[in-house]
Amino acid sequence: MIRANPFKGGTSEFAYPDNGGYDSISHVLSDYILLKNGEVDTQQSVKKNYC
Amino acid sequence: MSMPIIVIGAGVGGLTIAALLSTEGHKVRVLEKSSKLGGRTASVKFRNHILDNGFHIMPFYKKSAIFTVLKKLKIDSNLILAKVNDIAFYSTCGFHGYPKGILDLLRLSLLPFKSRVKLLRILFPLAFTSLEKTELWDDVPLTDITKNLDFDTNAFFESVCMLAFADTADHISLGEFTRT
Ligand SMILES: Cc1cc2nc3c(=O)[nH]c(=O)nc-3n(C[C@H](O)[C@H](O)[C@H](O)COP(=O)(O)OP(=O)(O)OC[C@H]3O[C@@H](n4cnc5c(N)ncnc54)[C@H](O)[C@@H]3O)c2cc1C
Repeated sequence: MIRANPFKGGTSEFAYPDNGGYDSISHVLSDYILLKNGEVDTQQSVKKNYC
Repeated sequence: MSMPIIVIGAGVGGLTIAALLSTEGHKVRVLEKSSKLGGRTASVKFRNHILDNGFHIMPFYKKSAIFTVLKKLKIDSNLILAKVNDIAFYSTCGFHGYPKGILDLLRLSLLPFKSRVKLLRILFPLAFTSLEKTELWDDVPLTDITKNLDFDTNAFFESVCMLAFADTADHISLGEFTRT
């Protein structure tokens, strides 16, 4: 977390993923799902089936 | 093994619930219509830079819902965060390090020297204000002390507010700002 007031010093961390992009969070979660034998499939649009 | 649970959408919401279900032993399958993960947080690569989809921030990360989830799944250490030393402001004349003390502020090339002195005058007394006193300022808008600043100094205040609070100065109280 960043300290706004420079006199209090920049503390520990600024919550921005180091390798860039907030989608890093999604990649961490997705890796975990795959590790647990789940599946994450892209380009799979789910359509409503109106009967 | 029970039937797999289908989660539609690989945004932060879908992936969070899928990860939590996985940890409870369910088999999950996430179906995402686009070619990328992240939904509204998806970034793009552009000329060697990673561009976020707009301005995102996780203020008070260690108290956030996403941190709680990552910690519960014991994968919080997989999300490596940028250190404050690596943060810089960018202007057309290059990068300017985030100031972390009086000397840094005086050296802040981003701002004209006059603005740096003005900032010092404002921030120096705030840094030594007691917690009790800051609480008396919880109804005082931060803009009370920034409204008469010149454009450059005010722009600096606004960018600091965005970084630390993900909000504009008119939505932050002087008390909250001083404590942070
Ligand atoms: C510019 C911007 C800045 C933001 N800043 C912040 C911030 O600073 N802090 C903060 O906490 N929040 C911020 N947010 C909000 C945050 O990004 C969203 O609330 C969050 O990402 C929503 O996640 P979600 O998983 O609920 O939805 P989404 O991210 O919208 O994900 C939904 C996913 O479902 C997929 N999908 C939709 N329909 C289908 C279908 N039929 N079949 C398959 N897949 C489908 C989509 O492609 C998408 O990937 C910001 C949002 C934006 C746009």
